[in-house]
Amino acid sequence: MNLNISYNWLKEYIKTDKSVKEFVKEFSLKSQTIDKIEKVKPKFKKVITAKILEIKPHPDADRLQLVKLEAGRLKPTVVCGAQNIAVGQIVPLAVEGARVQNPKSDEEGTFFRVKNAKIRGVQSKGMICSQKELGLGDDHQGIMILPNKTPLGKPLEDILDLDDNIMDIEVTSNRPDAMSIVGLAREAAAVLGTKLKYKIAEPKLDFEKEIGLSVEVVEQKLCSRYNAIVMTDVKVGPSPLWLQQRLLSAGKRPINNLVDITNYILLELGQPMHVFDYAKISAKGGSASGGRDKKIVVRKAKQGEKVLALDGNVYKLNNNHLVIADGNIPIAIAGIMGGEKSAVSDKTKTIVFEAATFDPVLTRQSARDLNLHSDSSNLFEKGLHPEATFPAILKAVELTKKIAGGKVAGPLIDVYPTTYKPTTIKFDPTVIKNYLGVDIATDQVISILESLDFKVSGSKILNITVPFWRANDVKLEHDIIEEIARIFGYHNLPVELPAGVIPVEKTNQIFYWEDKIKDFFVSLGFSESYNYSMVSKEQLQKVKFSVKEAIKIYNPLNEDMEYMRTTLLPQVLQNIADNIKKFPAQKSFELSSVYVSQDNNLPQELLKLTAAISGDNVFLTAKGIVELLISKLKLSNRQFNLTDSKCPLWEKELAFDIYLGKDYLGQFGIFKRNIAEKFGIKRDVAVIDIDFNTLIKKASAVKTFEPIPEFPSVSRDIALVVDQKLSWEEVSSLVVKADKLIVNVQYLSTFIDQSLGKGKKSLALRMIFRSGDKTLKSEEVDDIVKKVAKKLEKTFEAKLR
Amino acid sequence: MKDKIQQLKEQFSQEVEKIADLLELDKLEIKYLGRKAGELTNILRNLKKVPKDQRKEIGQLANQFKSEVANKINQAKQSLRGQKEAVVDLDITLPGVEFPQGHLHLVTQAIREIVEIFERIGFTRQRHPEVEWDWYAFESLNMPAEHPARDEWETFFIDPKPIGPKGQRILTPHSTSGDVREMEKKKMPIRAINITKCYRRQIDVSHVPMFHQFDGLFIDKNITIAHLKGTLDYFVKQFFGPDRKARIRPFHFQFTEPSFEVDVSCGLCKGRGCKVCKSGWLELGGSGMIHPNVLKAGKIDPKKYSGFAFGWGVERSYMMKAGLSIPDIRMIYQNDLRFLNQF
Repeated sequence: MNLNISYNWLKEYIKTDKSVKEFVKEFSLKSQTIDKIEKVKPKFKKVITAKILEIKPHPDADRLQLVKLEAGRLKPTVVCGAQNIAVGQIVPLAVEGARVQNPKSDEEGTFFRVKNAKIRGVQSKGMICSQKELGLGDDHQGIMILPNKTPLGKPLEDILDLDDNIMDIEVTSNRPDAMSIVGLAREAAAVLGTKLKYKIAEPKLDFEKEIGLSVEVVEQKLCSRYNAIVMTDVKVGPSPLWLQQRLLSAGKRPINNLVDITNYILLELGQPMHVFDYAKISAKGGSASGGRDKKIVVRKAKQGEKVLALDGNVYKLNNNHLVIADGNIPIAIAGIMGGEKSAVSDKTKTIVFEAATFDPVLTRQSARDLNLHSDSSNLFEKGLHPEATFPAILKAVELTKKIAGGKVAGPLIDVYPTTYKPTTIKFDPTVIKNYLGVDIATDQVISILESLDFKVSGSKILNITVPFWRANDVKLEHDIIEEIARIFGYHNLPVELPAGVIPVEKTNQIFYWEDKIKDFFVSLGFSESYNYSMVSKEQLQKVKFSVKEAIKIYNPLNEDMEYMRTTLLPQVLQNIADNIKKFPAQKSFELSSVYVSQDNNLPQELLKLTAAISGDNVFLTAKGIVELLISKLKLSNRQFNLTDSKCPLWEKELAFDIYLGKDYLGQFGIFKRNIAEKFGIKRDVAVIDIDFNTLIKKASAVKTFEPIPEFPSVSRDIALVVDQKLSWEEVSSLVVKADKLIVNVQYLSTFIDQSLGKGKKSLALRMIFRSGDKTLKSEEVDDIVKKVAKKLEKTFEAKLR
Repeated sequence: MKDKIQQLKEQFSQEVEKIADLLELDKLEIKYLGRKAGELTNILRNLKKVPKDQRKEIGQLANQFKSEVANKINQAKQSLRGQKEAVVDLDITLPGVEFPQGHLHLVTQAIREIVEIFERIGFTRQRHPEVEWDWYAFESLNMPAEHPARDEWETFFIDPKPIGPKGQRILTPHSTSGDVREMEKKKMPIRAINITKCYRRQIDVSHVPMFHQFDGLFIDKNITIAHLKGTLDYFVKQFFGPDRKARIRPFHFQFTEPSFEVDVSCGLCKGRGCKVCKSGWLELGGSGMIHPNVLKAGKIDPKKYSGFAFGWGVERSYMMKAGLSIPDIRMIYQNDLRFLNQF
């Protein structure tokens, strides 16, 4: 959780001469990360303090008012639309030429100059400002109200203490105790080696007249402690400037002194609090005026119970949610947000403060359930300790006496059924070296732990008592080591490469072949692509893959990424389509997993190799690549079987199924034109789609040696005139079988011309002859050629050219 | 003998005129000057048999003829070579023959570099499921259900509720999900590097829903923070350059104790602080000493063994290393050839 922390506020609790930069550097190395420092600067100019003397309606506009002000010698009248102002209040007044921020712009730092102007026919001499217009906060709901004793006619920047730095601190989720000023000051004290200047408030709690309230905690497991106190004769009004400024420094909006007190305590002590208007709490079965029987009940919500929360929304609850209820209805969603009905208003005279501890899991689930997150729920869901409520409610009493003139009107109610027993850990300082690679003297260990408020006793084996606010976080020897090590400074530990035995492990064959085959494709001019593993239903259906076999994501980002892919085809084709305008001839491939669903089990993750080629002569290019791949990997028994014309992915008779013996390896060919068109590809694309696992199961990296032939080979080229429909395969298989001295037949060229006769073609080929036991004589070879020619003539009516 | 030489002379002049290529010229050279049976060689060999008075004259004649033949053959050789080039009329300023240029994806290149660095100190690359049980991604890593730390991983779920003893199926949000699987192999010591696709529910200019992480796992006897620091420092120097440094700062992960954030010193300002890094250091990723609860989940006795783990994004570290300022990280997965072909 990121917090905005005022350096000035922090320095109330620690003594340091360090500049904010030096502080941040040291703190980040030993405690929590500080992402940013921002110097506070007044963004406004020519804004002065002024008192409201009179408010009259605007003669020509219902929603506007004429506000007469007093600011030293000036007595201007301004036109204003805000509803939160009243006579006697002191407000910031921007006079002609002032610089203020445009509240409607979301962009920070859009300023304008104030001019005297006529608004609906009435002269307005300046304007009164909200916090947002002054650049002091985000609030633009009303005019900023300054405390009653503020001197008039003074520049606002002189009234506000603006010489401060705001630090953006990321506090890790295991440290809710440090999500407050005092918590961070405690860390800072340990980091800087200084003392924390914090004392628990000790207001007098005696009272003259009791105003009755009872508290019943039904769900004691979910609410481990509930403190409440009634105070009366409070005067609701704006908070003093120092308090407003504290809230503003943390990005919080001052509302009124009582609400501000609870927010201030949340920021300072990290304990959420709430304040209720006593008058609005009903007695059991009775009305709000019920007197002595007023009651607060911590219970589960009833199914369908509703509460209007302070954010103005109505929340419908169920019996998984915990509420604070009066005798009748919920008045707050426990640990998350108070209810509007029991909120403090200008007229409030008697209040109830609440400081309680709610269950982290419950708070987290409810907040997520209701989609309602607050500073309070953010703290509770990380786990707060019940011991923390007492100092908080004491502070609230002290502040209320001081700034709202209230007095205690009843006992401090404390429903706390369990007794807290601090955790103690036995710790042997000699183990430190095993963890850190270096010894730390026991004296230093003790002083580090004590600086973090751990109590230490014993000399050889230490007995360490964990302070309550660390009880959830520090449980084991490891946790103690961490505290010692970080304050000692990780940067002070040695740097050492581990020695020891290197485990003997062969590189996984998959990675070896992945590298080889990727390099193979790249060497042939392919570009490797990476696509998301998630695809849409539409993408799968485009290539005729069933959605049923694909794993569906329960919470996809969007419809385009709803399924785990079972094929790489749609994306590889899409890659071609996306690039085809700029690169008509392209080659791309992807080697990645597809995910095949299995009931009640993890899917099979199967590697696929899918390549696509656009441009000229794509079929034979693809075929050549498959042949080369097979030869490179020394795969034997390969067969190309014409793909069944029922297979919807390929053009008829332009695709092959690849087999290695009986094992199916994949397919290649011209991809179905009408499917390619759906991707926006209007020309032939050849695709190679291979089961990578089968490929590498059969692949061999074994090096073999065959003796170099002792006798030279002889070659002869011939050209045949044959029927155009006669396939190369038919011719070549006949030739290679014609004589045992023919060791290879190579294709040279095809040539079609009218001179050859109608429906004829010329096919040129090369025969390679070799004998294992002698050098062949020219005449011998010529005889074989004659024999072959005869055979070709007989079988195919082929004529030698 | 005189006549024979004269006759050979004439024959040679005729023959050499007809020569059209270098191969034939070679044959001609052998015919006249061949060491075994060249015509002139024979004559010179048989000089002894010539009567004494004629011997001098004939010898001179033959030697003269021999150098004539050699000269003519040389001339023919040169003219034949020259002819060949003249026929092609080579314009040497033309571009060279074009070969296809392919490109490995940026991520593959990054993975290879990272693997190579760790293999040199005995790590072996491993691969674990991407669609994973909640147990391996969270529960065994000391993060029970409803733990607030889980919020930091914006997780994709396959099942809304647990479907078996290992919970629900999810898309692994981090490469750390391989750690307990590695421990379950029961082969000690462990030096493993798991590089995998990871998934998180985020997409904007600096987040992609699928990305790659690597996770180093080292378990042995007597392993300390100093060893982790040594390993990180080694990686940073190998990957980023010998003048760079690694630093660890306190952080929190449920599966390590203590946990650290790893920084690398800024390459531009060498750690002094500049506009790019602000404080002299750039954030790289997370690391820590493996939590004893995680060792126990992997059936390893934390009293006997200890270890560390570290891990972070492949794309991010590679961009940091290369100083690539890619304005929108989603470009890495859009497969625009104008992008891919730059690497």
